[in-house]
Amino acid sequence: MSRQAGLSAKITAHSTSIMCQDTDLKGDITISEGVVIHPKATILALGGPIEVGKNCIIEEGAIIINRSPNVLRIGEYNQFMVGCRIEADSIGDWNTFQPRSTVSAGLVISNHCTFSAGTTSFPASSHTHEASDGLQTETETIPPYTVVYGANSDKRKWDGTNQLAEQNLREKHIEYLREIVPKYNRLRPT
Amino acid sequence: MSITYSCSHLDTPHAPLPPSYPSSSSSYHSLDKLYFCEECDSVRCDLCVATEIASYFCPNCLFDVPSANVRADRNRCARSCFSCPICETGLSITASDTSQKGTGSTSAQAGPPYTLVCSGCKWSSKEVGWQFEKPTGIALQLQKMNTQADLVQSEFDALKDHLDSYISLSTPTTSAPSSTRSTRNPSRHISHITHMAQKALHREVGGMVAYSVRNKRSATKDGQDVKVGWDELGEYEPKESWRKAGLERGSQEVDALREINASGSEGLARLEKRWAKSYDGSKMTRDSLPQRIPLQTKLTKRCPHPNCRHLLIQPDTKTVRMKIKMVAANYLPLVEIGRRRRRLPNSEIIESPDQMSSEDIERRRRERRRTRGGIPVREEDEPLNAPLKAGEVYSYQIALTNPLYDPIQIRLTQPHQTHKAPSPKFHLVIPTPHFTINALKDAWAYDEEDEEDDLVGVGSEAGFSEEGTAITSTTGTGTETATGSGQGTLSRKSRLSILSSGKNDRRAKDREGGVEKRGNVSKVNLELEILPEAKGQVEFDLEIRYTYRAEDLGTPTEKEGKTSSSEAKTKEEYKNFTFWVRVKVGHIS
Amino acid sequence: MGAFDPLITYEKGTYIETDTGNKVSRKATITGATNIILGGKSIIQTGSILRGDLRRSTAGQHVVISMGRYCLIGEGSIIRPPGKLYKGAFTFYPVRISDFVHIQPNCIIEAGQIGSGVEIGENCIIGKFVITKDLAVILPNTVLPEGTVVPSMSVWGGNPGKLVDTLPETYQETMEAKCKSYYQRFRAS
Repeated sequence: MSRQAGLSAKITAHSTSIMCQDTDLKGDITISEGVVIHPKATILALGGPIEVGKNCIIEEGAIIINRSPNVLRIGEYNQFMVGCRIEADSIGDWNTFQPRSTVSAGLVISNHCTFSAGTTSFPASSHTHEASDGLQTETETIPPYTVVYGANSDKRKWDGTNQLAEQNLREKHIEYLREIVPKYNRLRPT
Repeated sequence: MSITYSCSHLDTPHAPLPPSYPSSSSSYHSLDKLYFCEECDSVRCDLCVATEIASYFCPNCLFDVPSANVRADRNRCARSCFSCPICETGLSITASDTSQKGTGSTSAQAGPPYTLVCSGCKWSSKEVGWQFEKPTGIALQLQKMNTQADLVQSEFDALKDHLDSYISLSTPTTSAPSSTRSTRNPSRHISHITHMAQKALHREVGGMVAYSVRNKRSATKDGQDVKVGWDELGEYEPKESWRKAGLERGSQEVDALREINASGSEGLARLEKRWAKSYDGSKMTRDSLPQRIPLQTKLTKRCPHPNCRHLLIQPDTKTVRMKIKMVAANYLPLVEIGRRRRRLPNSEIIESPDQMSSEDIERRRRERRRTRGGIPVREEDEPLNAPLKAGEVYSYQIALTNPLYDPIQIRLTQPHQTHKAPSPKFHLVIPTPHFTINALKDAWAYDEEDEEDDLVGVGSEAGFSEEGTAITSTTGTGTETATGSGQGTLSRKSRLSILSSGKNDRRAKDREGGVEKRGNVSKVNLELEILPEAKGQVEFDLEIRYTYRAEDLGTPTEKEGKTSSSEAKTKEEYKNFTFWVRVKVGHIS
Repeated sequence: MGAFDPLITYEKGTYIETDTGNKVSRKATITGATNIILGGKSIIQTGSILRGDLRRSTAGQHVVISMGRYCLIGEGSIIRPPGKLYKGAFTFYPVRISDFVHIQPNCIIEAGQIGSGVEIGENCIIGKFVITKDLAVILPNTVLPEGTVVPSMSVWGGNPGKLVDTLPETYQETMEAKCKSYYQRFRAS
């Protein structure tokens, strides 16, 4: 806590978003419409700002960190599930970060990717070059529909089966959360 | 740090070989994995019990598969349970979402076609072109979809016809002798196997065709040559030239190699996945198909003794309860070891260990006992798993828990070794070889009676400790040990009285004789002196004999129906049971 | 069993003890407490999260998390009801935990049902709608994907979790004794 003591939170949240009081939000954070942030979630904009796109779900124990000076843009309808730890450079739409999945810095995540429970993703070493100024100059892009799964965090491509059903589920899920979460939890004013 | 119990298998119970014999380790098991046969009055383990399959079930849908269907289903779930070809997770059936576009909100529960989807890695059966009309009975639908190639099927039919004549010839000869043998031969179901094989030949065999043809041929040949000369089987002429098929497969391999070059190593299916499949699978990942989930079994376990064969375990098919459960944990005391303490060096016996001769060691041991009489010995608690140090003296507490509803008496010794064992790495002293353990009571009874645990036990145990002898792993002279222990007993009492002065009298009484009692647990000390220059694993065996009160005559025994010796039935009220445990203490650093 | 197991102490006042003997850490996050039922003599340790607020969509009172006797929710473990579409509408489903269930630290549980005498090792992730029948062991660091069924007397491990072993017949007694002993040793210092 002492490390971040000086860091003031500058949160810009859309009026339709739901943010629980019991969350740890630090730095320059923009929350778009319809986002639900569960209690005990953490968003740390330690370097540049973090912009969370529409209708994202950030569950308890999820940690989103931006250490780089650049903006971390998160697209729409992403679900950050329990205990995931995300430090990616940018995130597209409709991605799923399953419980306790880890995504390290240097990754650009496109759309419809799934990071399965307990997996770890980091850029392949050949793509990461430490430039003279100490910043990573190259990043790896995770192509759309990638699934990271299993003990070795193998990658494969999802054929898009039941994509519509899953998207429908995600939409209904967040709709229901916006209804139920305020009934039981104290919210941050938006 | 572990304590395991010895199982002598079918032998008469005897002290196992010393730990230095690698072969002795196979007969040790933890107490929770052992069984107990009341008829034979002996311990049984998973290695020696005879097992039979009581029931089959699918671990995914938990359906109890009737044993009559198991063979036809090839030991796999014949309903809708498939495992993912990529990650082996169970696949779930989902409706396709094509009709969703209409209203956009309500009609997510779309109809057919149905696909199998993996929740672990998002694999879908669309990738291999599997789609189903109904969400149930997937295995059956699949069987209709994928029938064997005509070539293989007709070959199999021809071979089946060929072997049929042979099996009908051999059956009468095999069944007659086996029925007479069945009374004593444990593997009496051999005749069943031939019957089963005969039946199985008439059944549909799916992907295994080529493999099973080859196998069955050799198996029947080996199994039957005693009864029916194998040459009575006429030569089988294959309908097709399989040499040609082999050549075709050869060219497939070449294609596969090309594909591997194109797709990289990920295109190649992993070995364990290919092994899980039937014979003759493609080596490529994209060709991997979902497999039906293998069935699991519940086992019935019997005593292995040919004259006994009593049931030890009989599971209930419906619930997790056991109809019969004869486990050693309900008969033998549980032995645990803990509270390791290291003796802190006394100023008078600081010597460099390498200069010590055997007399020095003897002297030191005597010294040690004497010093305990005077000033309390300083000891230091240590973590149980820390490496041991050569030349140090450690004391342990060993706890025995009585599983019986009667008090028992324990004799704790080191087993007498008839075999030549290599020179020991340590001396083991058991200061309190005789003690009692209170009876197991219902949990609520302890709260009230904890403090007034029966004094009878204390009295008798004091009597024991008078004659108690310390037994060391060396063959120390009789007089030496006797005197040593005599001193030990006395001095221990005085030391304990110092220690327990602050506590209440009753507790002190319980501690008398070096036994710490609480409920149905008694704890005693072990002393272990690691010799200088000792190396490696420290492990030793303990022989534990317990005396228990046998049930009255005539009434059927519920707990301890041990009537091994005929004279015991009439005269003795008390019986003995001896077992051996191996204590692994740790490594010498 | 457990003759040498040490006491597990907590600072006095850091746990709330209920009439039925439950011990709930003041530092556990419990939302929607009215929707949670504890059977008695269960322990909920520091840092754990119980999401009682994620209830069914239909009107009325609903039990979201029910727990039997002699259960343990280890430090930092999260219990969260699973959700899915039912007749086109999203709803959460209750988590039912029976007696003698030990959930070790840092687990994420979204199971539908956990039978009695189940031990879940450290750092496990139990996916949505997983059904664990009575008497089973989930080894530490196991990940069970959504909808996995764990039959009685089985041991599961790995990511994704697979059936790796079966349990000895004495497991029920061992587990019950272990749970009772843990509860008795868990005391204020």
